[in-house]
Amino acid sequence: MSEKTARTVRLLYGCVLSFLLVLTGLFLILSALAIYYGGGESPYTPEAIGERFSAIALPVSITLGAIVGGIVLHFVLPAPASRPHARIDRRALLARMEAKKDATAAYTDAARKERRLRLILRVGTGLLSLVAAIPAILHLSAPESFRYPAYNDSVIAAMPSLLLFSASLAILLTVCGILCDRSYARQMKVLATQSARTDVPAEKPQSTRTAWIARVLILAIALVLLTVGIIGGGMEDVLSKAINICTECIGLG
Amino acid sequence: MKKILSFFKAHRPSKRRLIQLYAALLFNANLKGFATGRIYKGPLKNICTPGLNCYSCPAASGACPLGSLQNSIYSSNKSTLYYVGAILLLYGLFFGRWICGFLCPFGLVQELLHKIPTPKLKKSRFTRALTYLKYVILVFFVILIPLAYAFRNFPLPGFCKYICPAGTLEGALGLLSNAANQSYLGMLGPLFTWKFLLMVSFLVAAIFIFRFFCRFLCPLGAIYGLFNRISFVGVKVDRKSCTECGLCVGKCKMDVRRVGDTECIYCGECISVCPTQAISWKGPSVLLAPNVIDTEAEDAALSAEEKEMRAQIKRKEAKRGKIARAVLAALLALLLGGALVYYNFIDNPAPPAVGVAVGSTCPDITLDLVGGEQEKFVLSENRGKITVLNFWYTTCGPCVEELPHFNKLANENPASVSVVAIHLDQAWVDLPTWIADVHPEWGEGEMLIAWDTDHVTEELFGVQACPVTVIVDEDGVITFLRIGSVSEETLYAEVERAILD
Repeated sequence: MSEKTARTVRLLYGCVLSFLLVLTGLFLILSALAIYYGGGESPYTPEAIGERFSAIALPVSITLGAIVGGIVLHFVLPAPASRPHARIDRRALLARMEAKKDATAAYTDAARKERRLRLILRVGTGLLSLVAAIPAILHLSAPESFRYPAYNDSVIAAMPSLLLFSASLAILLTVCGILCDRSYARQMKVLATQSARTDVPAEKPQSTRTAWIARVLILAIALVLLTVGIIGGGMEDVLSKAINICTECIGLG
Repeated sequence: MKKILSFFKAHRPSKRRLIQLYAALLFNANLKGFATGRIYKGPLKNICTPGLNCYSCPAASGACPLGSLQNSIYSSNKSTLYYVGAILLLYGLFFGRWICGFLCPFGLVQELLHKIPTPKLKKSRFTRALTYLKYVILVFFVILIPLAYAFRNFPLPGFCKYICPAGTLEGALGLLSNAANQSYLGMLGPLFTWKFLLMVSFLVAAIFIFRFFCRFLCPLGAIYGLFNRISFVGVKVDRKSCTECGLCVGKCKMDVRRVGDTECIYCGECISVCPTQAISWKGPSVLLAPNVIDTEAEDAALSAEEKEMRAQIKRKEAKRGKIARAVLAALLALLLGGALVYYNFIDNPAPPAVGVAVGSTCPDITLDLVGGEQEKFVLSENRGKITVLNFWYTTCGPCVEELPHFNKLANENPASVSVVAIHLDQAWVDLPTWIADVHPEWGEGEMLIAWDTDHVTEELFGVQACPVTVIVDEDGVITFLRIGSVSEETLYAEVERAILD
């Protein structure tokens, strides 16, 4: 079997298996929703669970069979070539190029311009993220947001502002990343036209003293806190929580 | 036959996989919990495991660090925060995110799911941006939400309650799969539906996206990642040998910018692809197998005697390393064996013979009371009145939420109903002070607050999950038994039914 055919078969199998897995996940979720919305104060009875989940036993079995089928395919098809999971980070490449290139006036101006642009992008992203966080912070700091005892509703009411912040952060960081990446590419283009420098500076040795100072400090603080915590009964408190089933944590409460 | 053998040879578990399986077994050594349907309640549960492992899992042998952290934020005992904080600092300092790569059971589950051969989502700028989401979850759900509710004297572990899939998978499904816990089904409602939905979504996503939860959502990984630069154990890069070719970043499935940054889980997959062998493990050198470094060019400059001496030194170091690794392996095997024996055979109390059920006579109990004029509560002396027993404890959110209904019931019907709120035995809790500070109205009303110093909850009623409500009629017969929260309407309806019957 040729490599191209093997790749096609593998892709087709992967698509079918993906479809089955997503379908299985959907069935499981829909079954749980159907039981919950089936009504009653305690909708999860053994009969309701048995009825709903036995209805999806066939598609789940088919999915499991398809997974096992992948093992059979592994014997039949030649092994796939290993491919990298990401392209090379332009920032790292740029750092390497900068260390080896001659610094002419034009290069310095271009580099300064790009660095300024990236700084503006990062600061702007940070400020916009703070703006996106304002609704969440305002909501969580307002006493009216915590109507006791309906604390579940209070947390659910906070979700829109938290989701808004999270989505905004993801979009801002992605856009910032794309624009910075283009800036690195432009800077690399300029660098590529420059001549190589003859006096490549020696690689700066990694400073380990700072790391060791931080380690010793953190270790000292941790040991002091541990001693205070154990003497003050912190271990018993952790034990008292751990030996009782946290019904909320596992969705039972 | 050869192909089958070569399949197993090609797919034999790596050392990292073996360590992951070892850790998963060690942190869930209470295997008998799956058979009995009961969680481990022994003294060793005051130690936090390094990875994400719910302490409500029947097999869990230790406490979850995230759950303990959220609980410590609420706890009136501030030493708890120091203790849990110290543990996280020590784990982070010594191991960093090596814990994620080698010791976390939930990470192992995700990696095994990712082996299912489907098309995979490759990392990109978008996934890199999404990695910041776990810091948002850390700040809001692990710290701010529990803190905000702590100021309102309400225990709420935000992350555990609303997001954590490990709790649903290990705790809920682990307990519910046992026939002895069928009574817990009555507690399932909107929260379980939400968490089940989340858990299924995360597990399906993990099939397509490598370590989906770890990369984007795990606050424990966020904490440990902050220590990556200074952790004692992990992966290091020799910057002098590094040519910034980027092959290590290309090989890595996590969203790293460089090896060893906050996203690196120190799995070591990058070590083999580095063309200049600039990447190596960091840790005690005697335990690490040395990188194979091509020294042919250096050797050519040495004399025969120097070459022989160098070879001898290398052999000695290799032998020392082998012995050290063998001793460590033996000690670890002893630790696991000892843990399995201890949890399953030595610290193995017989489960209580639970004889209470609706329709049976409630066993007579004598309890110490907190506050008020009475010193003791004796159930048998309460014949002729309806008795409502509610089992609770201060760090149980659903318990604290529903007790006002019981207090109201007691205040409205003092002649016909006795309400006793029985706090589980927890040595550190200064219950009188807690009630005086947080809910003084409970101490001043008709509701009696008892302290379960004789463990009647465990021995007689088999309580291992709170809240539990038991209604006993005038003749001492149990008319209502509910594990889980009780609404005000249900409580009043059941008391009325007990009165009429």
